Amino acid sequence: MSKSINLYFQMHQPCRLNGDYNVFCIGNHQDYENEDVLLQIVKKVARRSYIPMLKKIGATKDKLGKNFKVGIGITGLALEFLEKYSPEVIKLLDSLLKKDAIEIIAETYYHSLAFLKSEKEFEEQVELQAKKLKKLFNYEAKTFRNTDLIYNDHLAQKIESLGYEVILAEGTDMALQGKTPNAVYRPDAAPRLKLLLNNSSLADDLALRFNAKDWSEYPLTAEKYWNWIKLSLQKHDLINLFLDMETFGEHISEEEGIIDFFDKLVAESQKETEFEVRWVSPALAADLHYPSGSVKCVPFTSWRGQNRDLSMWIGNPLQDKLLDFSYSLENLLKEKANKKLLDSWRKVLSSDHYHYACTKRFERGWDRRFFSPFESPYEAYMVCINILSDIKERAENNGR
Amino acid sequence: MKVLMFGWEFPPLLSGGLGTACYGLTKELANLGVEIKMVLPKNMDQSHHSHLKLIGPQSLSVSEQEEFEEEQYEHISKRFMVDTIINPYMNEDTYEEYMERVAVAEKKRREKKDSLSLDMDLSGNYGHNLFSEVLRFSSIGKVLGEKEDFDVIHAHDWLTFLAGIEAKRVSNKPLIIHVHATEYDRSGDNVSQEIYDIERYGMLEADKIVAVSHRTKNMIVEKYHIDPEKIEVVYNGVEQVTAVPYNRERRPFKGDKMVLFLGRITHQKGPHYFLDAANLVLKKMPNVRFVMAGAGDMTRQMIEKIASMKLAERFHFTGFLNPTEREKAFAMSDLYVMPSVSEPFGITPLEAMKYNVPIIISKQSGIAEILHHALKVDFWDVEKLAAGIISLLEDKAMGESMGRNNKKFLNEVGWHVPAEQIRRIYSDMTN
Repeated sequence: MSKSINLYFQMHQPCRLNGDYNVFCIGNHQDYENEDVLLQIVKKVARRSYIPMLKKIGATKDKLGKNFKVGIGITGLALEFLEKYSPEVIKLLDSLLKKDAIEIIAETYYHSLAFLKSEKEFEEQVELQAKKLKKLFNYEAKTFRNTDLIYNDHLAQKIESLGYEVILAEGTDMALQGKTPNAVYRPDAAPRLKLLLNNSSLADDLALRFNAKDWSEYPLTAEKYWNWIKLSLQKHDLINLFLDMETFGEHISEEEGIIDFFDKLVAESQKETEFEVRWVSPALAADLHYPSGSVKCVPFTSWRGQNRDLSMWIGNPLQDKLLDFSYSLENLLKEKANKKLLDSWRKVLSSDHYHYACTKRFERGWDRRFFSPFESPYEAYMVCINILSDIKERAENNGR
Repeated sequence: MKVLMFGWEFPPLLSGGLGTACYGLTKELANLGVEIKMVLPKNMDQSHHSHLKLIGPQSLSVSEQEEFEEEQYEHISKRFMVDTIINPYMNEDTYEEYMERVAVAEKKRREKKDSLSLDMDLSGNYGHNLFSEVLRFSSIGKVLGEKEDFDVIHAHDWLTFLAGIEAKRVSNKPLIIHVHATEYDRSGDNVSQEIYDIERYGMLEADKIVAVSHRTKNMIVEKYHIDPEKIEVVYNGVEQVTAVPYNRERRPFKGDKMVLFLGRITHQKGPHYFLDAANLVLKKMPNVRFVMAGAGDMTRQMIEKIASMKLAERFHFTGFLNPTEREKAFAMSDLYVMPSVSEPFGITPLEAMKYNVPIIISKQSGIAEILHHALKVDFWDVEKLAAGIISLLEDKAMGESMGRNNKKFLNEVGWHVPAEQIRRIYSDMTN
């Protein structure tokens, strides 16, 4: 039987909020977003990462045929912005779907934390995302991943009830309890669903350490990395690697060799003589490999932060207040706001903005993937609160 | 390790950043086993020590002490008090004012027949202007450089640079100059060429320059054209003292929020930006009081401006505060604002933190480089400052987060951190 590498890439772009939206702007104007910055970033990321990687995926598919298919998670917001500023990416995605090179994964349209605060809003955003995929690609996703792989049993139940077949999560100690991440599981609370868990250590070797010059394994060659994967595949049939697509070309630049690395890694896998290797998407992995038990996970886990929990988005007074205030507007807005105002509110709900209000970023050992367009968590917080205050005021005045 | 240090008197005698820094630094250096011989400019009108021995060159009287009445000097192995009237915040104009004061003090002393007073009229010995006085002070460097046993020389700010250079010349020991502020910080664009020249001379003669922030380092590189390799940034520490208890129930302005400015009311500290921001804040949020604590050459201008803006009811001037009043001012506040136009380091936000007071500082301050839990604004961005004031006063979450994190920060930035760095510099220089 062949061995599988389940590779999935995340693509997301939040809206860029206007950093100058201060208290004097409330009730005055609705310039919540900085479109110029958004345009520049989207174009840059598309040029440096999305386009070269998607092309690479297409070329690899052409070479490997049925032995190659990967997962792509893309938020509704990212799709919307790419349509507007870099339509070439949408065309590439479409062509990759047509040649069965990718599986697209469902999630919340706005990359939100809605599941933590409002199941109603969560379901609506999942629905919006599904509609977007349908409209753009006439596509229906089977696999679901929640924002930043935030996961627990309760989410698994919800996703099962929404009719999805596969769910993705981080391979945390909390979930694994000593088991290997290199397998297909069933969530204890949702036995009809299949659960795939990220091999955090191998994924982090690329996302966090690939270009870290102080890392003992630097520079990481494809040969070396393949040997690590092989060690696992000798014992198990499947490896799940969940990565941000921006790792390839944006967080780590092409000049540092990351895109080339991907090519070489695929080549290494095809040189393997001990066993046959297939690159598979999540749904394919879940089909090919029989579940090897169930996983129970009550507390929330995620793929961010040192403890892989929710502490990137909640827990400090700023984040908690921001989150409470954000969702306290839900009923008011759904009752009174017009479509545009509702969309403005939802754009603030992107997890990114709660992340920017994280005060842990100044501590030692901080996740080096962290990026914030704001000078400080306080700036991020103030801008969000001010925008939400203006949205609230307008909704109260009947959506004007 | 023995250091001959040209520094400044410790608080409470000398209030202000330099005395505080010299005290905090030397205390922790002594803890690390460094022996400090301290040379301090001291006005004769303040000195009342009976057990001092006078040494020194002609026209410069110096008292030498190895035992101290004052607790805060206990960690110093030897102190040389030099009779001069320079102080770290002096310029050519204020020197003249001091001269007049000294003449009066001298007259009084002679009338009282103080046990210490000598037969000669000391005031006659002071330099006729600031520069001749700085030059006169520098001769102590030569005397001590020859006479004393030390491994390295450490001089704090421009008034002591020449003394440090003299000591280096006769002893051949390495000289470290410590830049707490440059003439550009003190005088903006009105730079005194003489002071600039002395500063640059000190920087060129020094074997190592210690700057209190990257901002200051950049200034030394850009304005004084010094090789950046020679400059090391050592941030100031903060003394680990507990807050003075204050019952907020009893504070004035019941029901109103209080925003504090504390510092010299001079152009450098940006009091006018504070005022303009207050004006904007009050238009949106009327229940706020603004307190301006301190004295300085812009006080009058500020008062007049407030009157013309019709803000007098919401604006309070305290004048110069003594240390106890100062603590109280911080304790009473809901927000501390430091809108400095140019601040090499800026220690007052650290004092505000002791009282859990949220902080807004200008980006043009050295402390902005290490202070993360504060709002930072460009000093000229009055609207952003005003918006920040309103947000912080209206919203407790930010203040809570700042308070919680800054408490942790205060514990991490004791003087032991810079002292370790300085001791390492001493060893590097002597090896």
